[in-house]
Amino acid sequence: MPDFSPRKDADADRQILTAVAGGSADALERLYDRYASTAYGLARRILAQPDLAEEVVQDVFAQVWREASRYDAARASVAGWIVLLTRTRAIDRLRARRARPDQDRGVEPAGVPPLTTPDRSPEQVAISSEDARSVRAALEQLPEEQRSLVDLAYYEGLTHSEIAARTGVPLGTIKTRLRTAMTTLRGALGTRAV
Amino acid sequence: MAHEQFEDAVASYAIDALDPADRQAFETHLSTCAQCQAELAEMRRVVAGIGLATEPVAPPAMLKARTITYATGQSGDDRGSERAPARAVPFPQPKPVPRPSFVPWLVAAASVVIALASGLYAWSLRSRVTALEEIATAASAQADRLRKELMSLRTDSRQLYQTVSIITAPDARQVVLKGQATAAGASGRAVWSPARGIVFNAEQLPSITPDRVYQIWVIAGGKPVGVTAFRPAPNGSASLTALLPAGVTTVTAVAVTNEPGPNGSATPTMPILMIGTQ
Repeated sequence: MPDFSPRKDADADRQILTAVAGGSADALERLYDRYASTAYGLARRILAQPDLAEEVVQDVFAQVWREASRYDAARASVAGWIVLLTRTRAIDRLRARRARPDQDRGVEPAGVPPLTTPDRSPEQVAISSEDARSVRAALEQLPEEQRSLVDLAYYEGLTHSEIAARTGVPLGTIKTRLRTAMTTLRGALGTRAV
Repeated sequence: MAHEQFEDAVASYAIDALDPADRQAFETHLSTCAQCQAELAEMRRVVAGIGLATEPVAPPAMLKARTITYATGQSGDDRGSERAPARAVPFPQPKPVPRPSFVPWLVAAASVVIALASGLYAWSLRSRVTALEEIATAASAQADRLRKELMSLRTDSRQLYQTVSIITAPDARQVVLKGQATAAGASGRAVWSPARGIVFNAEQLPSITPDRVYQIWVIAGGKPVGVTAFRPAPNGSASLTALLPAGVTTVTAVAVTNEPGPNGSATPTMPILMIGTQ
C-alpha cells in the first residue's frame, strides 16, 4: 500500500473528486492513477479473469464520474467508495458467472440477487490507508479457520449455506465464527479518521 | 422480532454472506433499527478496509485511456450530455390510399431505409472505434515517452548521486591534470575514491576525428589501467563519472591519451596528452 499520511491523502482525494464532479476528465485520470491498481487488484483477486476485472474497473470509474457530485466526501473517503464499488460489482459478476457459466455476461444471478441495500449511499465509508494496514495486520493474526472463512465470504462471495456446503462446517458455527472474525477486524479499526 | 438474531447478522450482511432468505428479513429489520444501522456502518468500514488492504495490481497500460474515454463519453443524468445515436433516415410517408402495386414498393423502400440506418449506425460505430483506437495508440506512445524520460531521469540521478558520493568520500583524492604535446592548452581535474569511482573534468581538449576517442588511464601499481573512453564536447570540454576498474586501490597518476574508437585500447598509445600526478 502506498505510504503517505492519511490526512493529506484524504484531502487530496477530496479535491480531486470535487474537480471530477465539476466535469474534469483530467481529475478523473488522476483518480485513476491513484486507485486503478487498488481496484484492479481487488477485482482480479475476486474474478481471476483479467478482461472481466478490467471491465469492473471501467464500470467503477464510470460510476464515479456519474455520481461524483452526489458523493459526500466530507463524511466519507473516496478510497472507501472506490473499493466498495469494486467489490460489489466484482462479486455480482462472480455470482452471475457461477449461475450461468456458459455466459460470461450473465446479468441476473440465479442464486443470490444483486447487491442492493435500503439506504441511499451504501458505499460511503470513512476509511484510510492506515485503517487498511490495521485490518491487514488483524487479518493475518486471525485464527486460520476464521481467516479462511473471511476469504471465502469476501473474495469468493459465498453465503453461509454455500460455505457450509463447501467446508462441511455446521451452518451455526459458520455464522458465529464469521461474526467473531468481523468483530475482531472491526476492533482493529479504532476511531474513524477521514 | 428478536433483535439479537439480527445483531448477529449485521457482520455477515456487511460482507454479503447472508443467505437470500435471511437477507430480506434482515433488510426489513434494518430499515427501522438505528442500532443495527450504526453497527452496519462500522462493519462496512471493515469491508472497505479488507478491500483496501488487498494487494494492488497494476492494470494493463491501455486500460487507462479506455476507462477515461468510456467513463466520460457516456451519458448520465448528472452529466446531461446525451451521446447522440446515429440518425436514421426518416421513414417515407405511406400514401393515403395505396393501390396494391404500391405495397411492394413500400416494403422495398422500408428495407432500404433499414439498411441505410443500420449502415449509418455501423459507420458511426466504426468511426468511434477508430477514434478510440487512435486515442489508445496515442496514450500508449505517450506512456512509452514518459517511460523513456523516467529512465533517463533515473540514470541522471544515479550519476549525480555517484558523483557526489565520490567527491565527499573520506578517502577522496584529487589531481590537477595539465595538457602536453598536441594538447598543451588543455587542463583538467580528477577526483577519485577507489571504492566509489572517479570524477573527471577537462577543458580545451583539441577536437579529434570521428574514429578516435580520448581514453582515461589511472596509474596503479606502476602500470596504466584503462578507465573509460570519451569524446569531448564541441567546445573541447568533457565531464564524466565512472567506476574504477576492480582491484585498483592506490592511484598515483591520472592520464589521457588519444586512442582508436569506440572503446580505446588495452594499453596507452603515446604520447600522453594530459597527466596529473599525486
